[in-house]
Amino acid sequence: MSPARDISPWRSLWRQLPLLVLLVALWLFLWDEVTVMSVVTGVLLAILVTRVFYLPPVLLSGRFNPWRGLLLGLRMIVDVATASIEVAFRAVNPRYTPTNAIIAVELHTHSDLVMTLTAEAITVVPGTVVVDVDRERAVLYLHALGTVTDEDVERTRRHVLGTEERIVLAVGTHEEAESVRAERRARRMQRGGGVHGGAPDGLTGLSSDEVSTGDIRRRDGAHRLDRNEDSGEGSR
Amino acid sequence: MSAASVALLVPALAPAAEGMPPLPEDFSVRDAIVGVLILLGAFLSLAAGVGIVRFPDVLSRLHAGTKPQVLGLVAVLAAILLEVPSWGVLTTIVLILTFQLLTQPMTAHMLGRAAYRTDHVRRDLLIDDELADDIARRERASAPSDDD
Amino acid sequence: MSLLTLVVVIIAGTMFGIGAICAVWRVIRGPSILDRALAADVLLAISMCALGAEMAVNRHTDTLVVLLILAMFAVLGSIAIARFMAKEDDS
Repeated sequence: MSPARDISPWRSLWRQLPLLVLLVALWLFLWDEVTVMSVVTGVLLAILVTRVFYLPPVLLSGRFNPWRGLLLGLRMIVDVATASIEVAFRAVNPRYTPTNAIIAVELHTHSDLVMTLTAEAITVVPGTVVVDVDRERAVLYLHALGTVTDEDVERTRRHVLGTEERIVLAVGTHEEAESVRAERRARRMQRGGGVHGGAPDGLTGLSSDEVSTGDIRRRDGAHRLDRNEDSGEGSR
Repeated sequence: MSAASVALLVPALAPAAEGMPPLPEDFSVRDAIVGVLILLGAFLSLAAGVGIVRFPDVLSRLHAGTKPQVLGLVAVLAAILLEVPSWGVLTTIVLILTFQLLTQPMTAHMLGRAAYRTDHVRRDLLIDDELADDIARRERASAPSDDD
Repeated sequence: MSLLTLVVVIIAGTMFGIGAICAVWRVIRGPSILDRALAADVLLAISMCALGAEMAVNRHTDTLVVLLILAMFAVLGSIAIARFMAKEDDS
């Protein structure tokens, strides 16, 4: 964090480059055509917008794993599709009466970026809504539809932590990703090595010996990272 | 597209198509897929409407109301793309979906937060409320006065 | 318009209609303003789906821009109401 404080203009431009590229892409998509005129006006407008409506720069980790990003995207699509159908059938099923729960999930990483992305990803999937956030302790409070037993609560918690792991592996910093990998290795060892490649990508099975996984991992503070970015501009 | 070419396109249909009555002359696979996608979107819209009428409290309605339609919109936009395939349509659809996916969670979160904070929650439907537990714990820690 | 499309149009139209009527009922009945905001949001989402379905059936893209604008700015109403609620009665 500290070396980034005294930033030269080039560093700041480099740091804002993803945002500028995104804004130009948005402009081109709106025009539906790629011409000299649209590109030039897009670049000029992007610079103007980022100068006039100045926001504190999003602290990107500077790391992006495309393969993990692809896996994350595919998993999100599958999750959203299945959960949408499930919630829709619950809505039209006349014998269904909802029982809900508000669950506190303590995330492993304290970075704002990962926390925001996780909250967004959790809220996009139907059936769970982030109701409140404790930024200091990195706790997401989510309201889950259709939880009947404690087992459902634990499954939702595991799902959230799995989503966080996938996001960290895709866009988190090296340290965060390394700690997630170490944790996964530890979990796989614990499981006994019988089902090595069986559950891909944090897809925890539902066998009974894993019910307490969420609890173990919540109490386990050894792998927890310190807050690695404390930009202090958040308003939560 | 005639029935024979349908059978060519869909090999699994070919043996069955022998004994079946011939398909209508103006049947096309594309229209069928578009129809299925539109029906999916319509079903999800219906479920959202029924859900917000049936479910008993704001937070439950939030689940039924805000999010299944995103999938419905995806289905309908895919149907449009199948009927009018062009780059201009594709880019606009990508933009629509991006904004929908960015803004829908914001709506859900803001409404859920307001509902919880203004006590529009049916406590009897919750099997577990760890937010209230944490709030109570913090209040006990800070001021040992009468909570609850 | 083929028979298949006609059937699809009738079924889908009925479903959209029932969904929209349910949303309107909730707007009228809603005990709290949050219910009304949510139901208005649902009504808007159903309208978006219906507009899209109409485009797919009639093979044009005239109202795609409307969908884009709605996807961009529909969120503002609900957020404004939610913020207002949070400030209004914090009891």
